[in-house]
Amino acid sequence: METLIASPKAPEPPEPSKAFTPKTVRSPWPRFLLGRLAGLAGVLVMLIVGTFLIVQLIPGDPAQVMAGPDASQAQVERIRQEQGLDQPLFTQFTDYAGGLLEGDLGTSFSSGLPVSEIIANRLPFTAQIALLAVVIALAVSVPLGMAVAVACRGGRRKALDTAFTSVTAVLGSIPEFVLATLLIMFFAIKLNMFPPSGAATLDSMVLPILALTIAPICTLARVVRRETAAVLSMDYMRTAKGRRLKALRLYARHALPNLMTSTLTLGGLVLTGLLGGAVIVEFVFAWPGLGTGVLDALVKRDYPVIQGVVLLLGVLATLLNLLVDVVLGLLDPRSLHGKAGDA
Amino acid sequence: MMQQLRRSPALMLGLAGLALFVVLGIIAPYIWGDRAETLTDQTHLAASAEHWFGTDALGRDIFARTMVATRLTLLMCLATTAIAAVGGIGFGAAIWVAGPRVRALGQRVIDVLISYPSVIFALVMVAVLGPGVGTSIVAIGLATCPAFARLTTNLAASIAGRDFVSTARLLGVSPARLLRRHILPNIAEPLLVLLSVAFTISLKALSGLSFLGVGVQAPDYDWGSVLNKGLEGIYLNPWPALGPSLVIILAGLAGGLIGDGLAAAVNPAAGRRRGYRAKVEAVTAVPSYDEDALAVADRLSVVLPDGTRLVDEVSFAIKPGEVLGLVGESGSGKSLTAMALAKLLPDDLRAVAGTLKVGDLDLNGKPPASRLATEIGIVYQDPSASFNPTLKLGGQLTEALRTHGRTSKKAAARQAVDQLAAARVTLPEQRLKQYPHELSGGMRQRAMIASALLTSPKLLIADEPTTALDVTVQAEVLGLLREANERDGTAILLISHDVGVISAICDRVVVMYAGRIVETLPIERLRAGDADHPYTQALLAATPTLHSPVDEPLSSIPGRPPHPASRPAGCAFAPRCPLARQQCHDELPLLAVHGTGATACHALTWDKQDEEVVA
Amino acid sequence: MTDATTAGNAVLEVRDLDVAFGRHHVLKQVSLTVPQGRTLGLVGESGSGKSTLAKAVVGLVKPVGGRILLDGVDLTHTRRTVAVRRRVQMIPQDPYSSLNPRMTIGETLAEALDPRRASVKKHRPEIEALLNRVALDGEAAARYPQEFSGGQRQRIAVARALAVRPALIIADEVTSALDTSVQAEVLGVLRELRRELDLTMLFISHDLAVVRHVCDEVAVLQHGELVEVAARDELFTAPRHPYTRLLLDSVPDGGPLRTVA
Repeated sequence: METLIASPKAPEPPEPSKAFTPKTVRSPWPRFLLGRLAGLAGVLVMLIVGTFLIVQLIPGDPAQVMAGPDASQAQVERIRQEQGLDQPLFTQFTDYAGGLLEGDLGTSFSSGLPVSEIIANRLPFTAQIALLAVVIALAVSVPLGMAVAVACRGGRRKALDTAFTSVTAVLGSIPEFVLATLLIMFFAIKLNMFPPSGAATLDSMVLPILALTIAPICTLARVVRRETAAVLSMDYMRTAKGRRLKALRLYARHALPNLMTSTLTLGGLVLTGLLGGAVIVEFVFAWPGLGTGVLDALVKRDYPVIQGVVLLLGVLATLLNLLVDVVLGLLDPRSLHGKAGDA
Repeated sequence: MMQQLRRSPALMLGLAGLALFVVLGIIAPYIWGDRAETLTDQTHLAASAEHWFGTDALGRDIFARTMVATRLTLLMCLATTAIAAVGGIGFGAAIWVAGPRVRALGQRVIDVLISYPSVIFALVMVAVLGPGVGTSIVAIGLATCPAFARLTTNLAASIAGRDFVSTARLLGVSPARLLRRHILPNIAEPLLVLLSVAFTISLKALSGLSFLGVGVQAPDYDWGSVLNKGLEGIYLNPWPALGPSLVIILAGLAGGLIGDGLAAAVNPAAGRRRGYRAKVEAVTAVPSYDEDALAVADRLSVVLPDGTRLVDEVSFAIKPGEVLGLVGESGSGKSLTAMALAKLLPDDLRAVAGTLKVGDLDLNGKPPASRLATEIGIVYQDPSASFNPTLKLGGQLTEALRTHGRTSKKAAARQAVDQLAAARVTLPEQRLKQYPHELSGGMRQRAMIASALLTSPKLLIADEPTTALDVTVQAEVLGLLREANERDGTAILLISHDVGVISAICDRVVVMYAGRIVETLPIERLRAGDADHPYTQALLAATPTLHSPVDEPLSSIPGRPPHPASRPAGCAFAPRCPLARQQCHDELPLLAVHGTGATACHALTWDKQDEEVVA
Repeated sequence: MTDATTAGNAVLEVRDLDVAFGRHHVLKQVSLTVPQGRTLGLVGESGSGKSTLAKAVVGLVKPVGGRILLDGVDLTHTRRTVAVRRRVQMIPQDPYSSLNPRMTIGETLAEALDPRRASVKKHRPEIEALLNRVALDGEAAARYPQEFSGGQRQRIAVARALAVRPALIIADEVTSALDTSVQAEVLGVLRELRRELDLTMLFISHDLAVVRHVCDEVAVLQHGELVEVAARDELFTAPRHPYTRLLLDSVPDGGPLRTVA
């Protein structure tokens, strides 16, 4: 027997149960924000290196490609010098990064304007439709998805369920550019209700935003519906139901915050995807935003403009992600833990 | 799995659609190849019987071009999906195998990459490599990689956390075999779903690039570039744009249907289809209970939509001030019985009863919400799941009081603090401002009890209130319940699988088996091990205690309880019962009073018959 | 329970074991011994460190101090070879996650017998013998885990551990996910095997009544410290440490609630 008893501690009064010692309440926010800002800095560096490399990675002679196939040797050499392509790689990078720090994004080949000015002119247009699209997409999909989930809970209303699933599947699978084309055909040409292109009047925003939001609304509404169904089956919803609250209070106060945490985690991707969709939609509707700007630059091989816009869009996507996580943190403080590092 | 696949019409339709496009991709160039390439002077023609989608600026037939473009489009989608799947799954598996540090870093990289819009990433690639078929494939393929990588690592992590993987490690299975034998087979299905989703995404993105003019370049053409040309003349002639649009929609739809169908087949719960509301005969009320009972359930059944009775005609009553125990193993229907009495059944279940009432609240009808909320208090099983994680405790504790008790916020908070203190929650004022996850499990359950008692309910329903707790905390929580009963005279319905827990604080016990009550008896008899029903006896004999003899093994009950859908005609316990005779298999025994208890067992009547025979 | 047991037949010996996760000390100076053919029960509440101790013995957790000896061989700092790893086997808690749903019972057992080739054909007689040992039919080998009840799955997990002929079996809360009647079935099988095969076992549980039915000796952990180790009857009839007494008094064991001071 003694062999078993190695060296247990001498008997002593038991400690007060752990449950009785209150945990200190410390806000997780400083740690979270600090971690995220560090992550943001990391992503920024990655983006800057990435955009810098766009020119470097061009196969063959970048100066030749930038100048175009018909350029003379002298023109190629001039571009090489202007763009500093004859400098060592490291010098080129420090010049580029240093310029960025001073707000200098370079100068457009084709127009001779500073890239920052081109972006400043175009950004408001993209911001307009992208922001509106995000707001509209959330404002429509969340109530829609929740309503369907509540109406169809526990296998009720099979017909509505089927209708919702099929309609969102069909509309959600239509690419933005096809939808945009169809919208122009129907609303602009056939019904003559809205202008088919340009950004001259307020109603010219209607079709681009429709084209941009319909597919995300469908995807998000399906996500919201699924997540709502999951939340409704949670124990705490039963607890809340046990308090016999009015339906609106039950769903808005108890279900919505929980549902948003899971929805936004997935929805964040849909929302950043809107930035990509904006490029395509701008092209169809000749909307004078960043998207048409970058496409135009691509055709003209206007690399400084491409680099500037790509960098900006990358920063926007990153900020959007950060925003999503901050909202998540406000809704559910638990999500702040262990998330401090990612950007 | 295969059967589920066959049963999904969405999946079948999607696969049929895709097969059609594949056939089209193979044969189209042979059939329409010439018409698609030949330049004619019939330019910009409108749609006609001759040219279904009209002709383009060079007089080529757009329908033919759309059909011929199927091959290139599908091949590009295939290549893109392959790059995304191979690269993504490879990367995901690699960082998973590489160990925790690399994994954390890799996951962060994936998080960054996945949030970068793929269209813009593709534009960057075009800027570097110049437009073309190859660029498009590589660009969209790489842009879709992070999604696969993330899913692979997430799934691998969830499987790797399961016990059979750690056991296999102990057995000496090498990491490569671990991946091949244990991990990949268990994550194959969700990856298959993602594969079909990736195919649809590629179609969208590749066509998008061509549509923007930075994808496939002339003389090659895919659906996107045909549509791009069609858009130019859209005012004069919609068909050159409409035609390719429709084809792209149809192909996307086929892919989407396959993805949805696969997802439903992989996750049967999502695609579960059940006819709703099978007809169940209403039970007519016969008042056969004590008039002074506080709560009465008379022939209460809990019914699935297909008519299966998870709880089958149980009847019991709770006297004022009584602590009634409801004991049974998993699947016995004890929790459903309690939730029916709380009017809190899951949405797809329904309670049918002759009488179901608490006090003068008729639960068969539509009792007023405020009385339901205040007169029945409920303590749930898992204190970590039963509080809303996104709301502070104060609001949750006082919600019923504020909503139904016409109590001001301040007064409700004051009462909550008192009740928390009574439940021996430390620092009660501070707790109101905390989130549930900031409390320990024991504290949470105390808070839950305080919350349930806050409205001074007549009946407290406690559903396995201590199952998730440590044994010392369990004793304290049981003490709290008994205290509430003795102090305020609150009647309690205590549900537990643990005979010991029931014995500790109950006055009387109801034993359930396979959705039915088999016995009720006063607690003294349960404590003394003096039960009449063979199931209760077997349950007691199988329960280890601190003073049962240890030199002989515990007796176990062979077999398992029947599924509620296939409950036998006779006694549900008969197949496992050592006493069972033919009568038990044929006839349902009814609950009959025997002395201080009631038992549903034929064997008790045999004793009498046997005695009579002897006499 | 003889006094003559020498250190020579101690299968597992843990000396002054310290385990910490970051600044959080999970095990503090824990020492215990499991002799050949005996079962040591390890009890404690959540957070007491009993699962961590099991993980440390198995090698899933690296201790910061102390030593772990198996059959007198120090395993603490050596990289464990496959052969060494196979000497300690664990029966996990959750019968629903302890068997690979994509492998038949036969394949699962074959893998335990031979982790490289895992051929069912070659090991058919052994597989059948193993299944019979845990009171299952030989034809169970062709079936998948989903077709078995929780108790049967747990018996299969026992068979898998036996297949390796380990020096030590660690049973981690093996019955806590089971219903009472099924728990009795699994405990019965373990009891039989202990007698027939002279198994050496570390039996971890939060349930004192279960431990009392299975173990020869019992060790009590509280907040990572070993507060009492004693022979079963001694511990249950005359607990020396106040915490052991508190635990025993808290067990609802078929009588009315005893109020705990």
